[in-house]
Amino acid sequence: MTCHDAREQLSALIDDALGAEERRAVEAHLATCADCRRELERLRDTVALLRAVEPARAPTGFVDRVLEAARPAPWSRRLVRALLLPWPVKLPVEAAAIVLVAVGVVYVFQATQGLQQARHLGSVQPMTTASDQAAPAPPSQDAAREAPSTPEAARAKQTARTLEGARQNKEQAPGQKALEKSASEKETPEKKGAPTSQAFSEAAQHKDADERRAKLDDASRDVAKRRANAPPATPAEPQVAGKLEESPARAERSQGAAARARSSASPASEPRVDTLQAPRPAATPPMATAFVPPDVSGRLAVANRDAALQDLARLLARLGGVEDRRFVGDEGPIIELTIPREAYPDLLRELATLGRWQLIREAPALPEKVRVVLRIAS
Amino acid sequence: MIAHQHRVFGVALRMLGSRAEAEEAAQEVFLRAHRAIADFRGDAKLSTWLYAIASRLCLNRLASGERRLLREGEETLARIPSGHASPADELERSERDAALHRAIAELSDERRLVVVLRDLEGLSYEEIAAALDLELGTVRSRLHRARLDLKEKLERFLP
Repeated sequence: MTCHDAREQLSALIDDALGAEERRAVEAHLATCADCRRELERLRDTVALLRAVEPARAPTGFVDRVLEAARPAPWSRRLVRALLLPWPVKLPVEAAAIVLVAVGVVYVFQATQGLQQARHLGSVQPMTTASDQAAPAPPSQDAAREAPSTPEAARAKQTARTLEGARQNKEQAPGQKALEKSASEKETPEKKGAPTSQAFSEAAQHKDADERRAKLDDASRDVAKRRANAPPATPAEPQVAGKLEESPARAERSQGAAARARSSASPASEPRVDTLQAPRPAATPPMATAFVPPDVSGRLAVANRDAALQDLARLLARLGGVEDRRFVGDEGPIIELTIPREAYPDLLRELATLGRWQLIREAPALPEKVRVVLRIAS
Repeated sequence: MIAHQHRVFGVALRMLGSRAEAEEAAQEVFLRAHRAIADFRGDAKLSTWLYAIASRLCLNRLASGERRLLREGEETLARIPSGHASPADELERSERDAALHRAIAELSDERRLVVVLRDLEGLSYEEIAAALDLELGTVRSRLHRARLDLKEKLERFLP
């Protein structure tokens, strides 16, 4: 065995890791080689130095920290980690996704008519609700005739107050719940009707609009009348002064009127018919600027509409009347004209000759210049 | 874990050189062992299995280059001063320990790991071969090279 071979085995010799054969061979060489023996001693000393090194000790609390770390993180932290880490990648992606969704929602909303209509209706609702909850009834008993800034706002507030009155009555008369509910349910059709009423104020002679307005006016007048008839508020209940103070029976009628006013669909409730035939109240401040009701209105059914219009023009010229405005109605043209009071009977007579004349409404006292609205129907 | 914490920490400390990094690594060793406990084969010693995990983790950390460059010098091999030694002896021991630390630290990672497991932790050749997944002959030659390196560097402190 050479010195090189023997020295390669020295570590294993020190560690007693040689086979018997190898060990004998190495020891035989060492017995004859002083240099290799010296090398073995140096190596033994080196190993002794290493083995004298103090064993390292883990820091205090190491086990506790490991156990703590081994415990599963709370779900919230895991969720945050899953959502945000690694944040340089996920945050920009998530921000982009949010922007994308927002843009998509706006696009879809703009592209969908139905949603816009829903938004429009939604904007009407809070107005009524807010006034319903917050607006106290004015102390004046003439509240129904109060003139707000716009006719539509006036109408909505009017409805709200009527409802408010109905609620007060409910507290006084517990048996009215069913009626109250039906009144509330009919609130929505009323709101839907609001925009239509606006169209009506532009085309004041439109038949349907006229009827709807008449109904609403009737309802508010009804309420006002009841308020006027109501006994004054007792000192014991000052907080309800100015609101409806009615007996249960009266309250029921009031609610019924409110409900009828709101249901634009029910075809033949009596108050409506009455209103159509009855003279309009002298003053309707909310509509005064937009529409002054005519003194006379009627319907003329003719075979030839054009011929009838020409005859009418000649008739007016003869009687000294003037055609003020002309609208397009459902059945045909609607003509608004003014004629001197003394010529009015002649006009009625002549109209009866032109076609089937039907007088719908006539003011009890005619002014000097009579305003007449004619519907020309085929 | 209480029984093995010092051994695992010792290997990590000698391999990585800083106590903070060693604690982090040792903690990771136990967490990995906790997750992989099902893989532990009952025929091997638990300590050998933990040494295997610790060795791989340390070598990976050393190879990844993410570790701190600063090593905490003498701390790694600090010994408790003996009350009986003279100041001259203390000084000599202090120098020798510093030299020993430097010499170990300057070994290549593979040789250092074998020497740590054998001479500092006391594992047998077979256990080292099992932990590092090496041939017995490789363990033997690697260990011998490491000791020769150390012998050269510590020549002046040898008797």
